[in-house]
Amino acid sequence: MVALDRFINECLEESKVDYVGLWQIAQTTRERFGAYTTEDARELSLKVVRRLYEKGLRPGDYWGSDFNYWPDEGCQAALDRIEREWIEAGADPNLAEPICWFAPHPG
Amino acid sequence: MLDRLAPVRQAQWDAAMATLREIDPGNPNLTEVATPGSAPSQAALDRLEAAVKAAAIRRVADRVMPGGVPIGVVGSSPDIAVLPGGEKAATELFSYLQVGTKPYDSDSSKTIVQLPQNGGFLTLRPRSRSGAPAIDINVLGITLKRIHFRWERDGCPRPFH
Repeated sequence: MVALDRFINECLEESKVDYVGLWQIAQTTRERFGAYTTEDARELSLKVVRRLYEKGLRPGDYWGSDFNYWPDEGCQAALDRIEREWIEAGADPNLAEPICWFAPHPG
Repeated sequence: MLDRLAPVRQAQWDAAMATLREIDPGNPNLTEVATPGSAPSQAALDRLEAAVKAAAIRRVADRVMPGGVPIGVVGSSPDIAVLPGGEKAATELFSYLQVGTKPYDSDSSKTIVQLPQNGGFLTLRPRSRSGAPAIDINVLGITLKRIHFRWERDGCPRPFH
């Protein structure tokens, strides 16, 4: 739990200077938290995303220029969408197919 | 019996060898030769492609984490590094890292390349959220995931070492 808290804080710090990709979260679940399958990575990543949402980050689409926040329909809606798109992809998000990135709440 | 896939395997073999030569000219797998007059077996091709993938990942890892230690100074986490030099430094490093990769997507806001054999992705973004350039490294096993390139005037935080 301490390690997970530390990672959450790292994501929050990074979000002050750059967008945090779901791919970063997914890869970290494998490298630091022992996720072996994409299902493991998804489950752990969604826990991280929930915490990030609670701390004020919001998902959006981003590819190098503008950041387009997803419609904010609440945490569960964001989690559901990420889970759905991840299952459809059948693999971890990556830089080519990132599903989403995170940035501080626009408000 | 006619081996209809032989020409395909031979083409894949030749492509893999060319990529390996580009990534790691001293790689011992470059001396491996298929049986004269016949196409490589699927097993030999699989071994060669695995060697190409390993060499491509090693090339990136050795450059951004020599000896397992990230280059530059630590950013917001141990997975993020900061280097000076702005766009020039970012472009130079990315030029080195993208050797042997395949272009995936590119426009004025980013360049994405893919390492051989699904080894992962790299991007160069001339402007990250903070305005400075960044390289993203999405390669499983390379824990350094991003390098920010600050302009000289911005200074740098504490070092990794």
